[in-house]
Amino acid sequence: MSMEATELQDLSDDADYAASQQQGSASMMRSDSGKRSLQSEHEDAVLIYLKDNVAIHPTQFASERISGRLKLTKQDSVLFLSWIPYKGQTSNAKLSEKDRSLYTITAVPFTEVRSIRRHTPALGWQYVIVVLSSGLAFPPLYFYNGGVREFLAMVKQHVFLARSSEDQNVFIVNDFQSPLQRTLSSLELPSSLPVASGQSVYPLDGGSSSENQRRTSSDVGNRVSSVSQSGFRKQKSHDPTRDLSIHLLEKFSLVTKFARDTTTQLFSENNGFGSIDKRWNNQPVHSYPEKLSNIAEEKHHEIRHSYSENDLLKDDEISYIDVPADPLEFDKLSLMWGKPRQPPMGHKERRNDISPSIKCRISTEYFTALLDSEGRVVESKALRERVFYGGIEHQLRREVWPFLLGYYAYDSTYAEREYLRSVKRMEYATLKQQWQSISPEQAKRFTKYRERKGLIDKDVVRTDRAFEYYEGDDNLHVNSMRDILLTYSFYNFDLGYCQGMSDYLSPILFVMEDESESFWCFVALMERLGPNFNRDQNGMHTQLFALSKLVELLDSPLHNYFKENDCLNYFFCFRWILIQFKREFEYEKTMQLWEVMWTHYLSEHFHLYVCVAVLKRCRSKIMGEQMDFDTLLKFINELSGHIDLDSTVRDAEALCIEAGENGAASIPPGTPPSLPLDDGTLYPQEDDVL
Amino acid sequence: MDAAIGKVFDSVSDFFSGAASASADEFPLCDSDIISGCEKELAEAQDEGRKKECIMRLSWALVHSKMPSDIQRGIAMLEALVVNDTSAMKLREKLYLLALGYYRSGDFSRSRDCIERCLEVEPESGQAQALKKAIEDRIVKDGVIGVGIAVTAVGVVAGIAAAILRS
Repeated sequence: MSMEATELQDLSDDADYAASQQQGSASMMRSDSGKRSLQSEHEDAVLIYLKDNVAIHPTQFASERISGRLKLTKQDSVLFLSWIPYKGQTSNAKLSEKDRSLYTITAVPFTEVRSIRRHTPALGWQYVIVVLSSGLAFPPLYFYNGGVREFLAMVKQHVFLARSSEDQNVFIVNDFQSPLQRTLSSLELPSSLPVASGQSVYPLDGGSSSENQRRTSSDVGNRVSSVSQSGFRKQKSHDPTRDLSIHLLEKFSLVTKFARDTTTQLFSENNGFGSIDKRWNNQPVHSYPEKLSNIAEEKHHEIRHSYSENDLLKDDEISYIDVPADPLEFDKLSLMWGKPRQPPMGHKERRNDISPSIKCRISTEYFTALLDSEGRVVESKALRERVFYGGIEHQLRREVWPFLLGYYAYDSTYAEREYLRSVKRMEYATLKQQWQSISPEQAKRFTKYRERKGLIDKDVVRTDRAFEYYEGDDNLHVNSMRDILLTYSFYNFDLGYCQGMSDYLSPILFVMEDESESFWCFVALMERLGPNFNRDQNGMHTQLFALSKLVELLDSPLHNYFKENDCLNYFFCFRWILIQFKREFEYEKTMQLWEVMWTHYLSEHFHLYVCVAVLKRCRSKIMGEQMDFDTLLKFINELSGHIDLDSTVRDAEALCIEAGENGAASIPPGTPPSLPLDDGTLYPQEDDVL
Repeated sequence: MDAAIGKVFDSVSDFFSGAASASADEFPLCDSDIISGCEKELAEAQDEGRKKECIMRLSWALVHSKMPSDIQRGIAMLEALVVNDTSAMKLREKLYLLALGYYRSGDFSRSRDCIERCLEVEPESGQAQALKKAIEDRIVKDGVIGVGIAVTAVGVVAGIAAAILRS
């Protein structure tokens, strides 16, 4: 018997080898440039990865395995997985051709894949299990020649793969169960938030948050808790001694598990003992029909439930839902509260025609008039008010932005500012020298430096390249931006560099033009907005929390709608707040909006009122179309470039005045961009190294 | 001679493959024919409800399979299904099957976690209570074996040290 089994396996090996020869290739092929194209599968699909001799095991007998070829193809930026069995194997008479085609995987897009589970024991064969979003998993794909790691690395190059925090051998593909992760995937800021902290959610209730249970989303956990609370719960006899002994013996059982796994791999995978298979095969299956009938009954009940759900959906499609009335009427309020904003001035001639009483962009003459003989800003509130309502001419921004950002003190004189600039220029040179003096040999041993430099190099080459100041290759301004960001990562080593910082620096460098002064203006801005990039996301969560409070205060029907549709985390506004609308407006309008917000004229948190204003403008569409989280997120992202700046700022001003003290009270102290509350350390240290 | 060697290997594999024999005594086992039957039903299913029914049936068959890789596949499916849960009864069923899958693959920690959650949903489930008892008994048994292995290892090391000291 043993001889016969071994001989049978040898024959199947020969058959596999012959099949490989027929296919014309027995080694792994990889086409990085993607020059080859497969006409048989897709018209425009590009072959990315190919692996021969990948098999599945329909039965426990190795002789009945089906060998095939595993492919990864890409078409229209979507990655596809295929596995096609080899043909013409006569040794597997037991399996018919129809059975073999049953297991074929035909170009499954990775958008339908939920996770990949790998099994790579020290002994025995490696395999991976691909799980779809529907819950179906394909049969394990056995890699007889190894290569699971290369396969996962190739997938990772084209799809966002995140190692599961619960199991080292499970890789999540575009985990859309987590709203925050879904938001970040849509934002195209893949490195702005570590995956591990995606589960930390700021408690919107302020007090208690349900404990996150393993292996399920928080929704399931909450449902379990509610079910157990509502139903009768059996009194559980708690035996601490038994729990302790169970826990202790569990550790020792791992030793046994290791020994058993090793032995089992040696015995069963090689199929060297036919008697074992024979004995297992004789095991009768007793209660299978009963079990299946139970499942069928439950499924029948589920079908009925799903039909009712479909009926509800149809009703929703047919009828148009009335939108609750807006508690604030914009037109009247804007007439009463919001002052009209003048269009930006483009011509000197037109400026001469305007009477002095009409507000317009601050000109050099006006700004000079605000300064006393020694250069102090006598009334900073007057300056900020003028900037708030009219903005700044571009030529004057270089003078005014340092005041708005806090680099210059309003009561500083010409001489003091000149001295400050010279001192800061030397300080900047010293800071810059810190990283410029790092030799390549030292860089090899300086992981954080290499990581940050890599991040910065990647970001600066794709920040505002459409803008003429930064366009073209070998742009000196791009080099300056890189130098400033790298210097900042050393100046603020605890915070380092995070994606999105280049979005803030780009307009500052454009306005200031000088590298040192741009750096110090950026430092002043990061003093306020640095918490946006904290690793624990505390700064972002407090702002999103404050935003939810403001929406609740200013538009409770909209707030209730978000509550009912599970959008109360306001993650769809994440990008607005993280980079303060940088990608929602064109460059010039972004600068106008920022200087309006930087005045802190009505509120330090004026940007939150801008968020509320935009949401109010879209409320009838959001509530009328009954947008869920995904639709709402897509809608918000598509608003980019379609928001009218002047009317939005006017609405935000009206909302800010309307909210008044209640609005200020709704925002927790220390919410960015308020200056941080005084702590010993600016940034909390984390022991784990990135 | 071959028969004698086979007998020795049988006894050794019996000792180490306690999971399979224990499962044979306590839980029904599925042959590969049943699994392929479920796969065919799934391939032929047309409407969505039927597909879900077949997926559930397939995951049941997989965690009851003899092959460890099938159990892993069933675990992977159930972990995806348990997230998409819609009702307490469905959740209990999936948690039970997930606990059983982990139990049969030897991962008793996760199995115990899942069965605890299953009992949270439905404390009266006799099936879940029986599985929990089996899990704890198994932990005790394997723990004792582990203690034996550890003590043996210490003894071997001590013996080697004594021999070195003697020479």
